[in-house]
Amino acid sequence: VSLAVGAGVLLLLLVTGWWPAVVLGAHVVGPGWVGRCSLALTLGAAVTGLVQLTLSLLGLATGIGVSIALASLSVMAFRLAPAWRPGTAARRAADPPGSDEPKAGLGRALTVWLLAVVIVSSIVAVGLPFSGDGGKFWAPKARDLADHPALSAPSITDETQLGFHRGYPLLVPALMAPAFGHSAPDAGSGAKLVLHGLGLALLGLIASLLSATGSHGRWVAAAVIGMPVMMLPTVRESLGAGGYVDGVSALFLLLIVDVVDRLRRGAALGGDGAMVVLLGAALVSTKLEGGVELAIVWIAWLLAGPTRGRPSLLLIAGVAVLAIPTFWLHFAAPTDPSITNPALLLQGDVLMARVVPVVAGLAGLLIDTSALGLAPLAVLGCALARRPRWGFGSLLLLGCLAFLVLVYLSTTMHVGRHMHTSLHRLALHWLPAFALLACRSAAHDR
Amino acid sequence: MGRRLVGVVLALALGLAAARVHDLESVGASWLERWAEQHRGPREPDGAALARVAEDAAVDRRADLFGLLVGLAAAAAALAAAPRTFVEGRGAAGRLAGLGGVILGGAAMINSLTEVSRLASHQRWSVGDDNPELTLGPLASTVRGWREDVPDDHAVIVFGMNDFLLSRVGWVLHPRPVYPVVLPRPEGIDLAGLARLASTLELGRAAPGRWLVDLEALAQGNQALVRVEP
Repeated sequence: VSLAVGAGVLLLLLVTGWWPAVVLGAHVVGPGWVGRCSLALTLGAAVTGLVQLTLSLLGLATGIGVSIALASLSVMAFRLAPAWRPGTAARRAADPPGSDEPKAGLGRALTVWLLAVVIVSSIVAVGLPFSGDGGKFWAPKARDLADHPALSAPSITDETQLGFHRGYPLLVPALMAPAFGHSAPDAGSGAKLVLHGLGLALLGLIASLLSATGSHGRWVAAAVIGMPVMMLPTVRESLGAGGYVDGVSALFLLLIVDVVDRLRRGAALGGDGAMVVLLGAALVSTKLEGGVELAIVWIAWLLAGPTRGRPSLLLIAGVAVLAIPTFWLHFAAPTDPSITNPALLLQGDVLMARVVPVVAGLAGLLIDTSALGLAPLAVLGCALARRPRWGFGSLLLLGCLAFLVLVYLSTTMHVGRHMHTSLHRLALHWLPAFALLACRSAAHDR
Repeated sequence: MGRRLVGVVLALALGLAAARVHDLESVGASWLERWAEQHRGPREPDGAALARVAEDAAVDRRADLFGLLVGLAAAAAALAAAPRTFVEGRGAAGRLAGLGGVILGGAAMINSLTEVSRLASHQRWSVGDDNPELTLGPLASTVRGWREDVPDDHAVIVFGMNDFLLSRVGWVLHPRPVYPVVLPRPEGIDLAGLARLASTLELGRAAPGRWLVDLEALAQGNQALVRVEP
């Protein structure tokens, strides 16, 4: 029963996102069904999550009614606004002038591979219970949200209770809450399916966006889709996997990087800008470190140019406005001990003790085959297909590495343990976005 | 011809190296361990725990190295079989590594299905609504029975360092407020002693009643739930 409820919630997310996907992002993923459905699911999750979060803050428990209402609105808008359907002149005009990427399909081999990964990872995901951070934080928060409004949910307001974590906002729990609310008390497979569905959207977008860059993009996409962390139970359900939520961060970050890259190349601000605002707010509301990731993308954009100062500032302001409920809840929650202490960065002996393990750990990501397969090497190989140049991708990489180095140098935990439990998931956040930029760059060079 | 030969030689060499690594139990990084010994940072665990961290890392390193060699051997074999497809044009390294990644992904797929079928045969994989049985196995009936003892508005203090059992107990006892105390059990203290210790804590004091769960006792199949007297 729970599984059917989860499938229903997922379907509502898909329908909710369909109209925004058509209006805002039809040019992003091209005509294929895989890309369209993945984009619709992503935008549906962002819209529904942010609305549920706001309503929860206003005192409503999170139920399925809001999802049904939003899905109905999407259907009505789709029927009432035919001029915005794909293929119209208005939509074509919004395509970036430099949009010379082939809108190729996935190709038969990649489609079969994607289907196989989807089936196997789904079998693994829905039949196993929440584990790691999923069991400790995300599921308790979601179950609480199904029963209480955010400001009175115990795992959100009481730092001594199971499930409390100030750095984990409520977008994902708000998406899972309806599945918990309408399932048997002990059932978890429906909520897990909702979460896994967003992982499938990530796989679909990786396949769709990378295959548009040519044959090397399809090979890299196949390596990224087939990473053990996407399906192998011992890795996917481990402490270092982050209870599936990091796949959602990766999903939002991939699309943000894609759209910002299009904006850099001169795309019209309208639809793409709206997507950045929506996805940026969703990224921050998924995990608070998403705010840092968004800042890295923004700074890389400003530094790499072409500078579009005012629009980029407008986008950041838009993200801040949409993420107000998340900031509100964050500051309303009691404080817990921070996992980092910047003062440690000024202590010579601490830096000396940590710098070598941190650098070795980061370099080790390249050959972290038990979690990431050969995907990092495939991305590196693709990036090196052209002479390295100082640009958006390199600046993003630099920002990402600087963030990781600073986090681990200033951790209040034992550095080895901290890296063991979080390095895979932070790598997962960025890898699809780097894969896209590397493949796109190689394609343009030709 | 030259490319094919290089591919065959590389595939053989990498395959042999992979077979060699497969026989090892772990791959140490003595220089890293020496560095850790010479430069001890804050929040370092004690000697035994530090050795355990290094041991876990060495086991992980062996798995990573084995995967790397197998993936690269597959890529080299592909180079030997179809040099034109994989080497000509730009991005050859990306294509070859991509192929190696697909081979590793295929292996992960087979391992996943094998693992799921093993779990399903032990009733540890299910799409039913039976989460406690799924996760706690024989302990499920014990923990489920606690629902009869502990009213919904009573607080439960869960004592112990077993993360897995902690989240499972929290799952089954929902919606009762659960307060984790992630500490090892002091030497020589029994369940009643722990309950006396818990009575001095502020956790859940506002609730009409408080209970204590000892995760260590639960894992051993002993009595693990006790009322905390005011």
